[in-house]
Amino acid sequence: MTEKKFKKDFSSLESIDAFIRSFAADHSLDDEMVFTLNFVIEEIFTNMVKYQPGSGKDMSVGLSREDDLLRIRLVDYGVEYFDPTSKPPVDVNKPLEERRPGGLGVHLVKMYVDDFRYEFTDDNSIITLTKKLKD
Amino acid sequence: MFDAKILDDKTVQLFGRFDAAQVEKARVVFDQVKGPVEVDFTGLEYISSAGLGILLMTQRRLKEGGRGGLRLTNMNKHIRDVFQYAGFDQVFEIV
Repeated sequence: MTEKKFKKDFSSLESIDAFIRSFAADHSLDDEMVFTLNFVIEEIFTNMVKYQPGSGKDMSVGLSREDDLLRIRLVDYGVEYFDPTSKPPVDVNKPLEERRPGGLGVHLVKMYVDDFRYEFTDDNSIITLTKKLKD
Repeated sequence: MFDAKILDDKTVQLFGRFDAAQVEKARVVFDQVKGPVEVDFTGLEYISSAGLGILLMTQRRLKEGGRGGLRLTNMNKHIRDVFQYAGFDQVFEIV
């Protein structure tokens, strides 16, 4: 797995994009997958920044490709238990006046990936996403 | 690099990456929108749920005030997919 640490701050998003693009170039991933990786990683990363301020230690983002499977791993160090996979689904058919932005990001992550797992060990929150590549 | 520009009373142009780090910059621009405008996505490469949230709150403010709404134009395919997954194609005019 190719891993890199990033400051736990929204300002890291541009550096994360550069990390994703470098990985994509090395692993023959197309523009659609670059967009998808940016989207799902940003949503998880920003969730951790907003809801898990914790120790303020740098977070790690890891990517790997094994044949037609992409694995994405985010680790948030020295935090409390916070499982985003258990959030209830968002009703995307509500009328405008009943819509709220909250919760939408995680809901969309679930639509983009094939597997979304949470682990909590030694005060570290670990999110692992799996995405099947199309032919 | 994200940017949002009000061209005239009728058009807002978006550029670059509209991610969570850009919310405050975008909010300043969209808070100036007082009536129906076209939001031109031609120069926008990427948007996340943070960007969707700004557009949603602007749309609600305009609609609740009876002041029309946003007309979203020239989205790339990836951004259009996000809008569809979020069900935002039901609350915005997208052309």
